[in-house]
Amino acid sequence: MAPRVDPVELAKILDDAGTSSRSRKKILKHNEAGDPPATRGHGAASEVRTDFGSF
Amino acid sequence: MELREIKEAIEKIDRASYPVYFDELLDLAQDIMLKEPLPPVAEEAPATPNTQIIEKFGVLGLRSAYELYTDNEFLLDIAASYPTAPEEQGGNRPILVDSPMRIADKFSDGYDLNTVRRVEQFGKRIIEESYSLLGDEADKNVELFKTGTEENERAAISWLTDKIKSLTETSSGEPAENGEYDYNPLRLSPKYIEALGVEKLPPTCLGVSIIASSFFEKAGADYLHAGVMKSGYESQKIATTHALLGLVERLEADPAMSDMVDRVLDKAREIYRDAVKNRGYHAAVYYKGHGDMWNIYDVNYDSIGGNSQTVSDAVEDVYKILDFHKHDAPSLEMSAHTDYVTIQSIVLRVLDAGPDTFGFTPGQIASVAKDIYNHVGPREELAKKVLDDYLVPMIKKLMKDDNFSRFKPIIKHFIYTDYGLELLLNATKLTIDRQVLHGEKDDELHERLASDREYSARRLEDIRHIPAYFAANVAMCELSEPVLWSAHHAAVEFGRPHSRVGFAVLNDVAVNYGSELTPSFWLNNWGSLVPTTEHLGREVHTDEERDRRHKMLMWHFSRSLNYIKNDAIIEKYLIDTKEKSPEED
Repeated sequence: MAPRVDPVELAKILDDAGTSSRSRKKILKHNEAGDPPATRGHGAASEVRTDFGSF
Repeated sequence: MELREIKEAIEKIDRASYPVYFDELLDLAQDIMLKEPLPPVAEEAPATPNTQIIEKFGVLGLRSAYELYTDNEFLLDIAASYPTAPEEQGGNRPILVDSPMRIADKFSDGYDLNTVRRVEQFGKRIIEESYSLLGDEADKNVELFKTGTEENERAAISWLTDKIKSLTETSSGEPAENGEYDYNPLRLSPKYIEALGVEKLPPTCLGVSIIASSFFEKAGADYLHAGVMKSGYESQKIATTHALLGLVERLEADPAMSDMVDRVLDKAREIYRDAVKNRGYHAAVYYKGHGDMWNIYDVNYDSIGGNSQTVSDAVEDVYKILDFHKHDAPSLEMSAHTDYVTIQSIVLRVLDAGPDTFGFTPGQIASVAKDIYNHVGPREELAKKVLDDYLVPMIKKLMKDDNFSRFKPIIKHFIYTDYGLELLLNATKLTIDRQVLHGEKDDELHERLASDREYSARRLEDIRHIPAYFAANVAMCELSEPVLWSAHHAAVEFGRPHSRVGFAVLNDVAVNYGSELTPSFWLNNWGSLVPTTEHLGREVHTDEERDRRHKMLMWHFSRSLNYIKNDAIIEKYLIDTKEKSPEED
């Protein structure tokens, strides 16, 4: 999975915000891994209705 | 040193390390979320008459005590069915069957009020900082909302909804290619969303709920942050599953119907699996508006305002309890049914009522069979005849039945509107094509009817079951394309916004970035049902902690007010790990 945010751009913003090196490392590592499916945490954004047909 | 002693020592170290682990998580969460770090919480939380009790039983213990008698009939049935075990039997008592406080004793071992207050402070700050995402016109609309008139409130809410939609229209609200939703905790952060833009970091549902909270916070409104345990659509899916099982009960009495029973059961399983599928947690907001009515505010699901008085009253009851405990248990959460009658639940009642209430007489069976056997031409014409001549009169008769007359306004939507009749016609077509004629063309049908007596007899059995098939198909059709109204959420847990937002964000950071905090930390301090499954994979070190968690899982199973996906997660966990309570060993 591709990273959601350009790592270089994100790193610059983290530096500008004075983020601690420990947090910076974790955030960049997570971003680099891409977005996981939201089976944990809050991720449901909307519902799409399914046509289940009949039996 | 024995193994047990080693485990206890590890748990003690864990407990002693909580402040360090918590600080690590909060530091990371602050780095992600906040523009400025939080100041220290200066004072110790003042004691109240309830402090000692809550510290002993934990916030979920408090919740279980409150909800024992408001939650569900199932729980009360269990309580009634078990004898109260003698005290000396200790751990062998069946859980959940005696006093509320006994239940609380089983799955929690503390409440750290000072830590909870730091989480509250964190949540409050996130909400405040998120306000800037609403832009320059926010203040004007907050003032409009504060006037309290119905018209102004509606205008302000309409503006808020348009504004939030403009922030999320590029979000991954639609399913990604793999059918799942993707997620990045940076999408909660007002400072990174501002820095990188909503195109790159569109707010998630939790982010949206926080932005909406910032509006109500600024307006000084009474509002609650909510976890959606069962959406309206999920409620409809579950009711459809039950309706199909009701159909199975009718068919099972007829041995010739065994193949059809299998087909209906397969469909019921398919819909149930979809209903309980893990799609992540969803957050929403409820605010008190004009006329002191509690309104839902959920932009993601297009559910804005319009709660019934019954739902509003249920939210008000929860609000009063949460407000009562705002000093001694600010992270308490309480759940409520916010359900409404659906056509699927009416179908279930119809099927349960049996063929005397909704079925053909022998004369009607013969008459319908004649119509079907003699028909030549488009099936739609045949379906319309069966619907108009037989099924609609039965539905009208149903409205005069004392057991169904209260559903008259809903049933009328189906027989007196074009869109309702279209759905009924589709359900009739499905019934005739799929369940009666099994896809046979007219020529094949007539040939077989003339030459195969067994085939003719089976078709007659199917015709006898047309009303039941039709009812189930109505439930199925309405599930795909609702003709009634948009579905508000059916079951929700509520928390005070500062605490719930703080914990929800910390939880999301913990599960995505990792945290050393063990399940007990979450279960003791956050009154939500979210952490039960979120931290299920974490190792626990002692029998006591395992026992508490096991009781917690069983408590979940006994509840109707639960996150719909949690039961499936817990069941899989128990099967995979073969985890049992130490009492059962």
